[in-house]
Amino acid sequence: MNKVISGFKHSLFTCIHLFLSLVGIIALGATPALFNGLSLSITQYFLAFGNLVASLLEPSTLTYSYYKVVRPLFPEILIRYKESITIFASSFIVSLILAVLIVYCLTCLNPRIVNKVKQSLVYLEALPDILIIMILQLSIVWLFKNTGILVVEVAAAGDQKIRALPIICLSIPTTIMFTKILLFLTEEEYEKPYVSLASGKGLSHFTVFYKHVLRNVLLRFFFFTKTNIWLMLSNLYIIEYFFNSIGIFIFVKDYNSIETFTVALLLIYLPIFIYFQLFRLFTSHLLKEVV
Amino acid sequence: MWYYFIRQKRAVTALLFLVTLVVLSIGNSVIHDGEIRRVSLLFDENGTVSAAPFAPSAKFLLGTDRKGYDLLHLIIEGAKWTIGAGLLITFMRILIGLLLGIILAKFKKTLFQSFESFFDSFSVIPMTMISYFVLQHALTFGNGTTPEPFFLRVGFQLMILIIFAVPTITYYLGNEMKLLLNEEFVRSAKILGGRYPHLLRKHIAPHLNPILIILFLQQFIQVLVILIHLGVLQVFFGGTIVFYGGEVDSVTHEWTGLLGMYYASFMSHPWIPLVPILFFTLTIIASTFILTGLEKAYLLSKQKSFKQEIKPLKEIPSGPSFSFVKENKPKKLTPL
Repeated sequence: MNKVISGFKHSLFTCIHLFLSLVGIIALGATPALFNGLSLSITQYFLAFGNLVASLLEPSTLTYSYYKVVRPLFPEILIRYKESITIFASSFIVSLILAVLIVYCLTCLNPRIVNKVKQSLVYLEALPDILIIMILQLSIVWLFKNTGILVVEVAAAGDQKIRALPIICLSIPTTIMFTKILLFLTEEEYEKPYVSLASGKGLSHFTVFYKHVLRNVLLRFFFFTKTNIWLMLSNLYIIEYFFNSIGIFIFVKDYNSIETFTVALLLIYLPIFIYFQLFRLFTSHLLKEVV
Repeated sequence: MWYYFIRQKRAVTALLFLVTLVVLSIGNSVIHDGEIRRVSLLFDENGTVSAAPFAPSAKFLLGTDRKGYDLLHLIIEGAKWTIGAGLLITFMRILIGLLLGIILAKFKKTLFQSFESFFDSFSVIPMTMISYFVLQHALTFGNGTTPEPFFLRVGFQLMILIIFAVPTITYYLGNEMKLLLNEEFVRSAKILGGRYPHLLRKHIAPHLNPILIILFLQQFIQVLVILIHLGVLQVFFGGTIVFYGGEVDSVTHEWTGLLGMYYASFMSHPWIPLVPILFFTLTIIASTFILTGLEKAYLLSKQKSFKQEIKPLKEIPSGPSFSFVKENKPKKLTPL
């Protein structure tokens, strides 16, 4: 009985949380109405807010316009959305795998080298993503000029899809970030007594890492992954712009109206919200031990 | 604390680098009235003419842009805007966030959580997207039209860049303070009669200061990255002038303007956008050095003050270790 009540309470809280964040997003989406040029107009803001809620309740009426050509918003934005998600998800997975591999290699090494790597990671993190993008593009073009091999497509034109280079560009800063976090978490984990016990029992280094340490580390990593997602998304925004790929961010940038912006915000926010809620639901019994 | 700071060579070098840039930049606008060296045509020994942009050479250390302006000079002129804006935005963000966080930490749990969920979207949605969406119309204007006054525009941009980051910082600091307030030493101080301001000053602040230093660094990097992104999206700090035909120019000569104007042609003149990015990177690395130095100095100075209180004895006093303070004559016990 108690469990039912607490479960009910939990879901109620989740609903309230969702409702409040939706209100927050709509309030955020309506902000351009708040500024008329550079002056504030609060009445207009509330009007825009009301209009936005009304139009969001009937998604089929939403439209976007480009040079007075009005088209329905809905199938189009989802296609763009899929493109963004593909790039985001694949570079997330690639970076995570790479970061885990790097961290595993580092755990085998001398701690003095690891310290050096840590220091260099700080500098690497300071590199702005644009520098990385530019250097990559330049080197690919340079390679093309000198050898005639085009490794990957450099920029998209028209409706052409370009995926490889955006994924690579997004993966590089992300891998650096993930490596730093995972390295920190792993080092913390290695100080715990169960690791000494496991290696004392004669388990190999790989088994200890893979079967014991990695699972706990990844659990914590996914729990605190919100900032990473935020950073990746802001990098993705600029990468889409750079490569002229047809993702949701560019869609919002090109056809910017309050409605498009808010729908895009909702589309970005909701999956992340659901992910965190599900994660909390399924791992709450585990997290008590870990966090 | 400064004593320890000066001893760290890297941090001091980094600080000197930034200070030199800003001082040169201010000096340039005071002495030269913001003029920038410009050479649009060059003749070599044979008399052949070459036009700007010139690649980096001994004459132009970092090359010139397409109008012939010396890039090193441009960078110096723009440094005060970019670094100044970055520092100001970061400082204001943390100040407002801290003040609101102090209030927020006193909130009840339900109110605290609803604050968190209302502003939850801020921690997921990229700042660049929001600020571009809001700033784009306010800051770009056509050549020849009369825009809003310069200070209004800058103020507006500063305000937007500050406000949209405040909720996240407020939540973070409020949460951190709430955790500290639940610690045992704070509770016992409260029982002994310490009020909230006293608790903040004496018990929370020493634990919060290192966090604030790290937060400052993170936010500074974040602000610079947002400025870069906005620059690439052609929203420059202080306003973008759009010429007929789609060419853009920056009102102030800050670094992002160079980026936004020339990133499209970076295949042919790679040095023009690479120079401002290089300086951005240097600034970020320099600030990393400075703040790690500050953090170390802060911790060392804390240790020092702790050490001072328990001074070890320099010489062991000789002679008998104990002496009677007052020799009491044994009292005669009077029989009852």
